[in-house]
Amino acid sequence: MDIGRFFIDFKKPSQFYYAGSGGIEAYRVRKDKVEPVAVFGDVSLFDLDTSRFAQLLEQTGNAPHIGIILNSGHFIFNILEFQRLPFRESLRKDLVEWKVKKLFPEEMDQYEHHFFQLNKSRILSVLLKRDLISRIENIFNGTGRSLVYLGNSTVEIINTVFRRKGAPDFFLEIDRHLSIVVFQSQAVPYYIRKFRVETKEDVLEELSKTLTYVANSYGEKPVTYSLVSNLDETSLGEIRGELTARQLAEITLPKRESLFLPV
Amino acid sequence: MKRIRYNIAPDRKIRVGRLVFLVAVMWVLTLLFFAIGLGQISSKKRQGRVEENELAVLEEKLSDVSEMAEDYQKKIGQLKKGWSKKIAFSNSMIRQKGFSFYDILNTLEERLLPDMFFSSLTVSSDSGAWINANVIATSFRKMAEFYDKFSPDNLVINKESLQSNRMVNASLSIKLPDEKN
Repeated sequence: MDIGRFFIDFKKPSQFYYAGSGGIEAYRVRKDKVEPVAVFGDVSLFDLDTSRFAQLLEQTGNAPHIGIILNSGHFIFNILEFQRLPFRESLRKDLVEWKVKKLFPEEMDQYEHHFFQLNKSRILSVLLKRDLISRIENIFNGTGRSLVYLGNSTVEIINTVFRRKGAPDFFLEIDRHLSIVVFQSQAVPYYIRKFRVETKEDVLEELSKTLTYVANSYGEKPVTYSLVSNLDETSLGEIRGELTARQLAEITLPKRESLFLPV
Repeated sequence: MKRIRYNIAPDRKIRVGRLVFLVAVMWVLTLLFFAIGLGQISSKKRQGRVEENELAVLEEKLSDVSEMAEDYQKKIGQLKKGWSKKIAFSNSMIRQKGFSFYDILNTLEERLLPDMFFSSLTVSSDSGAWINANVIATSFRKMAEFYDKFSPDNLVINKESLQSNRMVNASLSIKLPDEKN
């Protein structure tokens, strides 16, 4: 157990904003229940300035502490396997960064890197460009509110979906043209893939390729899945139909917003 | 899988109340365990003192018993001494009662050769005692043959002399084996 994390817990805000491909969605959390407040379609968080963002905040509530959940568009995920992980935190950090540098072509100094131990030998590495974080901080400065939570939707969905009983073998998060599929075995993710496609047929094609890759590389044959998406029901229905035809069974999840908000 | 706590917000706020509460709980538990430990130690000490007292009483009783045992041993020793003397006397009486003068005299007579005789003989009923005898023989050779008959026994020739009548006179001390005892 991480003693530090046991003692130090961070305040969760009562107001969240999901910055997705389709715009900004505002939510309020009251007594562990998520209430949608507003949707600002086709507005990108990174295109806003402080005054416009302040207006948006005024329209959706007056909570002093705000949380932002970003979709996975700007994130780079890697699941790394090690034969043995050192016990000391500093050594583990060096080892993980060394391995990420081998996989990652760009300069790591430009990225904020965080890693999380999933089990004895597996690490989830998350990279996000530092200038995006600075941009978000700049947007908040002057609004009179504090940004106390800045997280990622896929990571929160992993927390919510894979840690429950009867978790699906994989979930597919679709946010307009951005899709992320995460596979798990024994409640631990082992493969994550992000792709951008225009149509649902492309989604299915990419998913099919991914399932083949997982079967060949990991020897796993997933049979259950879940969908986390804000697509319309018709599109989702078609996707479901295709997946059922491939003998995959769906495990229905609660409302989408309760999955990616850290309630 | 542990929850992945991913929050990179610059203004993350620690839940101070929770932290204080947890620290307070840790302190209370520590003090509680400390108090329980102290209680255990003092109760063990108390128990130790009680046991020490009991031990002292038992040691006292043990020393009394040891003294009594010593007294009894002394008394037994004295009784034994007294009885040993009586037993030794009784054994000696029994031995002397069972002593056979007849056997001794018979043995001496059997060993005596012709032309020899005892001029005097002293026999004691004490089985460890010597027989003092004066023996007269016609010659030294006869006397020597007589001595040979006592070669397995204890024979002391006190004096040997030739008398005026050419008889050999020997003063002997003989110790025959105690066949009965």
